[in-house]
Amino acid sequence: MKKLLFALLSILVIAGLVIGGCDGTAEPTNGDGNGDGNGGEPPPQVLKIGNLLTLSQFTGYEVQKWFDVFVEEINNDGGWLIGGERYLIEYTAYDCGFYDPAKTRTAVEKAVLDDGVKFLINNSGDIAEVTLTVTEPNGVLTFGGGLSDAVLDPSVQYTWRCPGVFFGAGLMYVQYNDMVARGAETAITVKDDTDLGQFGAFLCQTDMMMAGLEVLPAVFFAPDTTDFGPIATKIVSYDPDLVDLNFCAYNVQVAQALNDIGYEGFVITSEMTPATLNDLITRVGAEYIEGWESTYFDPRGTATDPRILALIDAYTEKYGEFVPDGTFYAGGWFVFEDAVNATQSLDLEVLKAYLDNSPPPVQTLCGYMQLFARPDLGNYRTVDSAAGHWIGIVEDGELVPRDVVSVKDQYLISIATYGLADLYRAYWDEYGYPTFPDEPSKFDFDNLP
Amino acid sequence: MDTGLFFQILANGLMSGGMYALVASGLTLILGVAKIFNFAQGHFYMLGAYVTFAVAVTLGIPYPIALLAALASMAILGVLFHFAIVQWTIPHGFFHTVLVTILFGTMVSQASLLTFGPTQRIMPALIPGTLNIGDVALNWNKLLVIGCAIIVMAALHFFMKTKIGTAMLAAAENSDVASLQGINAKQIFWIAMAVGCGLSGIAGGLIVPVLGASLAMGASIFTRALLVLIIGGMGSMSGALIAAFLVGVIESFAFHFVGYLNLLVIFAFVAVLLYFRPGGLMGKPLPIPGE
Repeated sequence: MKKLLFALLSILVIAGLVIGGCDGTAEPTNGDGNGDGNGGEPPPQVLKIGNLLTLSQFTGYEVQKWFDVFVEEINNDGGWLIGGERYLIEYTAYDCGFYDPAKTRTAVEKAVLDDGVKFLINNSGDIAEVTLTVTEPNGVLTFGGGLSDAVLDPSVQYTWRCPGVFFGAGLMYVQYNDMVARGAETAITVKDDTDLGQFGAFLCQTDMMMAGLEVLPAVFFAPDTTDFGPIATKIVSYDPDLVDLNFCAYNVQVAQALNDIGYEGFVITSEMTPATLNDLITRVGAEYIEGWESTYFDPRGTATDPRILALIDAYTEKYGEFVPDGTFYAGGWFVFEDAVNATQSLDLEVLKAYLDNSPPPVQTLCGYMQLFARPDLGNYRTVDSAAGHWIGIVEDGELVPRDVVSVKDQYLISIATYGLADLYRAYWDEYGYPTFPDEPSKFDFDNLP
Repeated sequence: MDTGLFFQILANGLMSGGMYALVASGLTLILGVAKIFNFAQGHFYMLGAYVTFAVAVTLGIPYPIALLAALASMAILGVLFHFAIVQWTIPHGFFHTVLVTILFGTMVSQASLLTFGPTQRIMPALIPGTLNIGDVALNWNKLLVIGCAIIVMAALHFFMKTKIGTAMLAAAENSDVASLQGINAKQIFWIAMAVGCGLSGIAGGLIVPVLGASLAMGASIFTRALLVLIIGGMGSMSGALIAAFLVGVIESFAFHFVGYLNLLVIFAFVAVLLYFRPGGLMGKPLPIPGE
């Protein structure tokens, strides 16, 4: 009897944890798909779209929430009118783990082979090399790839890196320039030892040099670090004027450790969401972070496009609280939507032809996004994306907009950062110079080295 | 390296060691007494952190009470875990218990993800600011962790001198002989589980004001606790205490010189140590199951 009682109690505790988790924090994966047809029109068809996301991490979870909003917007309107046919969207997010090859394979095979999804939009956290082995032979239009150049190989036909980070050097350059103007001479970049961290360090250090800063050796730490004191001690031992925490996981903990040992120089953090700002203030106080610069993805107060504002309202109404973490990473949806609307087709080859040939920039939740070719990789299709970005500065405990880094700046400064100006000039001479969204920029073709 | 930097690195290491000591002590106790290698120990630490956060921040109850809540809830969960799952596997051998603890840890991870979500939880520092001694800056909250670690280890030391503690040691030595002398070994095992898991719970609670609570914290600390266990000697409490601070200090100095490869230095140290002392600093080599 005692054994039975304990077994039951244990099951109750575990069940309580699981059920507790279903209360408000976990959201269903699928879109609603509740359209009910329109009068005498034939019943809408089903358009299956999906994405591979790291649902155990906040960003993936937020992208899923945004896609539910996008899908609801269309389905509640009776469906998506494409080429005279009406489609209700059936959306599924597939958990691919966190850069986990086995989980990626399981997820992509489930999506493509079992569920028959033909459009995988905004993959992130998957292993692109694994995803490609399923999506390419099966003709699945795919947006993703993250940090991997594998998707940009000329042999790959149906994948676009969207959103991508290659054309992202502009935002750091603008920040570092600002720091130089404020008196910084030496800079150190601090990253976790991951693919993103290593890539980020390269990017940041190159931009630091371009901005005229003396670059100190980067400090990397293991992702499973349990104590950040040694990291701060090592950083301060280099005596930097500027500590760069862009692309750095655990930036709150590193900031606290810096505060603990009395570091008083400039600090640039990576994306500062309201939650991160609140955490920073909680740990180090509002005064310590006064004047810190950060990138951010919160469209409220910056976006002016009526459709984007309506989507923000829909998100807030659906979830109660606005969380900006997924706004940038959901940007591929708008590129896909534009392609479908412009071609009025779901035919893979028609969409490919449109996307491959310099489609116009599209407005996303986080400003404009535009596809460009990668002649440096021998790929002359427009396969890689550049996205505008926002920079803010902490004033009186609030992150206030300071600057907009345009798509043009992101594109041109990145080309300069990677030392590709001559190569791209030759490409532009042959294929034509790109045009950009109408937004203020700081860098022009003439500024390229 | 100047003196100030040297002592700062040393102090960092000692503070890390304090955290490791708390988690490793629970793991050591359970292994030493019940001969159960609890791979879910880190998960109890993580749950303890979340319980503390929930009680102290969400409910607004004073922190010391939140700590006690973490201690009590993890002790109870440990006992439930023991009676519902672990005790049935003990007769089937060491590996069966190892497997069920891994399974339990996986279940806790998934349930925690659903319950708490993927975001980390940050709570205000208990004591803001730092203690500055010369060029060395010491975070008050980390000092609190070290202080608590020493107090908890001392309490554990005296607990082991009590009747129950002595019975635990006897059961750890030979449970069959202990049973012949009137010691209820089964009772001792679940008490060890309660104390061990409770220790991890309170460790998690103590660390929340320093690092916050996150889902990954259990796995990260478990790696260090395992190293502490191996270096200190399987089941040796005093060995665990020494090893915890040793691991912390080596890790801190190694980070300064080799950066994120610092764990490799510790692994190399473990390899050399085990070559000369297979049982660790203060333990005896465990018999290899099946031999």
